[in-house]
This record gives sequence, C-alpha cells and structure tokens, in this order.
Amino acid sequence: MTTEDLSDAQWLAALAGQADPAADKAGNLQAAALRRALQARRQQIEQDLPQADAALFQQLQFRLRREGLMKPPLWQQLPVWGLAASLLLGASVLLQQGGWLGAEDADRLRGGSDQATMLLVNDPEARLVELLAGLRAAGASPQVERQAGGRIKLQMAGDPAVLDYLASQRIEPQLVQGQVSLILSPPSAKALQK
Amino acid sequence: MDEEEIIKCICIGGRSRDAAVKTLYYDQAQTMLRFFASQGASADEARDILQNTMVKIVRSAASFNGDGAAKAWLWQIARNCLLDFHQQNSRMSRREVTVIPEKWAELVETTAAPQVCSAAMDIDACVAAGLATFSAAMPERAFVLGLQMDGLSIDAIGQQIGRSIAATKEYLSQCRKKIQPFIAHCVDLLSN
Repeated sequence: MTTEDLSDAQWLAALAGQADPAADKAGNLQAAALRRALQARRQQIEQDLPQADAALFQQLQFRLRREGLMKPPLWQQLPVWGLAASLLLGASVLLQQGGWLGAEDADRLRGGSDQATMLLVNDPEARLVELLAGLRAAGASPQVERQAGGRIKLQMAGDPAVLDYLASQRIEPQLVQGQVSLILSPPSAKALQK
Repeated sequence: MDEEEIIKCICIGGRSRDAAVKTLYYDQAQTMLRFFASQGASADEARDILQNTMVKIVRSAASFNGDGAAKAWLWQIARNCLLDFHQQNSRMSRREVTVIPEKWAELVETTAAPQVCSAAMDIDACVAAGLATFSAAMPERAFVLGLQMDGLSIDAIGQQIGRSIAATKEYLSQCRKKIQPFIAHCVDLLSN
C-alpha cells in the first residue's frame, strides 16, 4: 500500500467513524468534522424526504396497472358490472312478458302434440274474424274448429300468400306437411287471476 | 428474497411479479428517494423519479442477463432515471469536469475557498459551509461520501454507483481530493 493509499484509507476510515489513532491528526480532525457535516446534511435532507409508504406504493401500483405491467386485482378483472347489467336486463324483459311461466303453461305458446301454433288472445272470436278476413283475402280457405275451453283451431294450406299475411300479423307458424295450424286460445282462468 | 430473485420473479409475471415489486419497493425505495433528494430533486420530483425507476425496472427486467450484481443493475436504472429527469427538465448541467490528474494540483491551488471563514467560525460550521457548496457542485460525490460516512463496504458503495471495487476505491480517493478545496482551509481554524 502506498503512502497515499494509506492516507486515503485512514481518512475514509475516520469519515466512517473509525479513526486510526496512528493517522495524521489533521486528517482525522478534518474527516471527523466532515462526518458531522454530512450527518447534519443528512438530517436536513431527511426532514423533507418523502416516505416510501403504502400510499406511495399504491400510486406505483396504479401506474404499473395503467401501463399494463401489473394485473388489477381479481375482483376488478371479472366482468361483474356487465354481468349484473345483463341479468337485470333479462329479468326486466321477462317481467314485461308476464313473468316466469310455470311448467303447465309452457306449451301454451308454441307447439303442442298437434304442432299447432297457439296464440293467446283475450277474445278468440274477435281475433278469428280478423284473421279469417285476412286469410281469405290471401286466397286461403281455413277450416275452423271450435274446441273446449273457448279455443278455436284454424287449419289451412301453407301457401306463400298465407305465410306472408301471417307474417304481417307477426305470426310465424310451423309448416307440417304443407299445412298450417293455428289455435286461438283465451288466457286460462288461472292466468287471468294473475 | 435478494435482488436477483426479485428480478426473476418480475419476469415470471402474475402474482410473483406483484410480490417482487412489493419487496423491491420496501427494500430500495427509501434509499432511492434519499439518493434522488441528495442529488437536488425536490420531494415531488423524487417521488416521480422513483416511480419512473420502478416502472423501468419492471419493464426491462427481462433484459437483465445475470451478468454482474442485480443490485448494481437496479441502481444503474435509478441513476439513468435521475439523469433523464434532469435532462427533461433542462436542468441538467455537467457539474463535474474531467480533470487530468497532473493538472489537479494546479486546480486545487487556483480554486479559491468557496466560503470566507473567520476565526470566529468554528470548524464544524466551516466544513458544513464547504460541504454545502461541494454538494451543490458535485452532488453524486457528496452522496458517495455520505455512503462512506454510513460505513458501507466498498462493494456496497460500488453497487450503488455502478463501479467495480477497484474503481470505487479510486472514486472515493478522488472524492477526498475534490472536496479539499472546499474544506481544507477549515483545519487552519484549529490553530487559531
């Protein structure tokens, strides 16, 4: 170790608070004074120094998420709000349509054993008159059969003109062997009570 | 979790990354804030530079190839972010000039003492005044002298300033020389 190296080492040791008694006295005094000055300056800096606390860490997390470098918490990743909105919309549509239907009501809207299209109407006779007028104008000759419970069944050939007319009435019947069957039914007494 | 493991976990992503970022933050953030403040950054600026540093570490963790100390790599990013910040704010100035060693003695002789010291001024006040001027002129060197004052090993100081052990020894020696024009005259007060 050269004299200069030794001098450096002794001065730096004194700066670190471990002065060598054998070292140059002036050097030790200077290093000790500098140590006190550095400590005072450190205290001054610490007074204004921001703290690396949880709040600052949260800001960092936010920035990392914003830059796509960190995933948001799981609960934020789930499409909870979208799901909730969809469920709410679905529920409101069901309510507008008259609520949930029981199993016994399920086949009253569409289909059935004879694969007829069932239309729930308040006054089947009045609706029959309207439909017959339209169907006859379309060239059809419907067979009308009155059934129990106030139901009226219409059966006719499923010609394009007939289907066009029914479509204009927002009725899309099922064609079975070229035939169209419609049943006009009043709402059940149970349904009316609701 | 040491620095190398932290970088590996950041590369893995997901929860490992979250945990690694948290560990890194609570291990290094306060020291980095102190470093930025000691280099002249205000409290708000130090927060911004810290955030930039952390983001850059996460973004470039994959580029760490394992050569050299991970801690030195982290601090290299911190120093670069500080430099970028100063450059962006047009406040960057090359405060330190390269001095040819042979010319150093001449510079010491021709550099006037930055503070007028009277006999009434005690050595502590004189050195504190000299240190304040030195810190403003060469903040990184003042910071390194602070690390030495803390009793850090040469290796630990080297990791923070991105130098090898030998280069750090030389840097500390240079720091001693460079502060002399600012405080050497203070010792004379002892004889008064």
